[in-house]
Amino acid sequence: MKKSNILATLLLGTVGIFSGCGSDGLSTTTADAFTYSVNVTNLTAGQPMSPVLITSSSIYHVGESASAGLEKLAEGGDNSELLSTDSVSGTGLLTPSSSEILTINTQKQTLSIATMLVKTNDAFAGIESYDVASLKVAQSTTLFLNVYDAGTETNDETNTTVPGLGGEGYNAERETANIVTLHSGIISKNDGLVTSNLNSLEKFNNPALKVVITRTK
Amino acid sequence: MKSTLTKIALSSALLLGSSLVASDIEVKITNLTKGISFTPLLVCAHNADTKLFMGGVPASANLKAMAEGGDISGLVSDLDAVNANSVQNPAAGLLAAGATTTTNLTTITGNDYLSVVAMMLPTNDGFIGLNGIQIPTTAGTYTYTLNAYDAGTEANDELASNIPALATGSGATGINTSAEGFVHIHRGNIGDFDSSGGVSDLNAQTDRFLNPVASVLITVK
Repeated sequence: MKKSNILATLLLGTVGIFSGCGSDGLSTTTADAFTYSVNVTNLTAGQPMSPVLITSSSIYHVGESASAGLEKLAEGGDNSELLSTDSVSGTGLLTPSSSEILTINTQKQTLSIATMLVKTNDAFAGIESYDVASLKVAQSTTLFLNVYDAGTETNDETNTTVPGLGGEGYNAERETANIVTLHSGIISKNDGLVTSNLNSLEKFNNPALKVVITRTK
Repeated sequence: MKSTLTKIALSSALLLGSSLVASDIEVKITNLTKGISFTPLLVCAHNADTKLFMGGVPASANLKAMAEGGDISGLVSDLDAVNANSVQNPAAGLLAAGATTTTNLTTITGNDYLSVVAMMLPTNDGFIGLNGIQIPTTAGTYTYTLNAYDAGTEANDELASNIPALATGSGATGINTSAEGFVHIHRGNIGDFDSSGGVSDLNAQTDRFLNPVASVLITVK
């Protein structure tokens, strides 16, 4: 993250362009930067989550097609395409019941969050452009995130398509409807989908991720 | 329910002379589900004493008509009787999965509470419900997420013969046989994978849903 900013800055030969980037000290407009400490907790019984992405940019809109970057996150847990300035990624899988504290430095007072439920085809827990402008330094707010369906891959729940079962991650093909919606839940082989390789432990309900945002600067 | 509405109607008739515009709000409703449609929406602002439904309490006949068949006309009559401000069917038909509709609502003094209902298809008597939230007075945008309720007036047998406009599925034996008797949070569709038999005429994958099922974004100007 830091390295890529430095590289980009060197390539473009200017710091001024990065007025929206106060995270690494390169920007000349750090005076109004904000810092948020974000504590995320996986609330599911058996759904590991991919490295949590927190960004000040928009990630998704219900009823619209997922971006390629979101598709890669939701199908394969790869958040690299959505990482940019004003964003941060978790260090690894967030397993059920575990927590991680991430710190984001940003010029904007909105936060978007996304993490794949890796034992699904294309489910992610998320929130889009949540407004934190009312938070003063040292104040906190708690959110409970629901699970969305990226709408990019059919929910067949099989070994070959679910990365958390050893199957394929990202695949550029899209399912017919191709819109982001709330997820309708996985079915599992225990609940009537005989071709599913998921079991009842991997079922989830809303909410799936607890998020405590504390403004520290 | 009905008697409450009547009583309120009488008391608010006395206040008709003071029907000033209280607020002008924009209401944006999004169907969050992957495969459920909403029948014509009813968006209304009403007084503090009016409730379209209450959890744990039997549904009114007009709520039943909405939840089982998508007919909002009875609820509109109830609301008219208490001088509520209503918008009917802003989406001009079904609101499809993932779709959004926006409407404006001008309220008169005293109608400070917002409700939104619509039947969910395909269900026996499931509906989305925003149940009398107090309309904010400070300019800004406010988001609410809506759960699916079950009107409790019809058994969740999941049979095509009891679900309006069910495109696929027939020949099932049915699941539940009796209505629950009171409004409650919907427990979801069951469905199966046998479109010409089995226990349900619904599909266990495409017709399922989890809460929340809708979002309402209010903009106070």
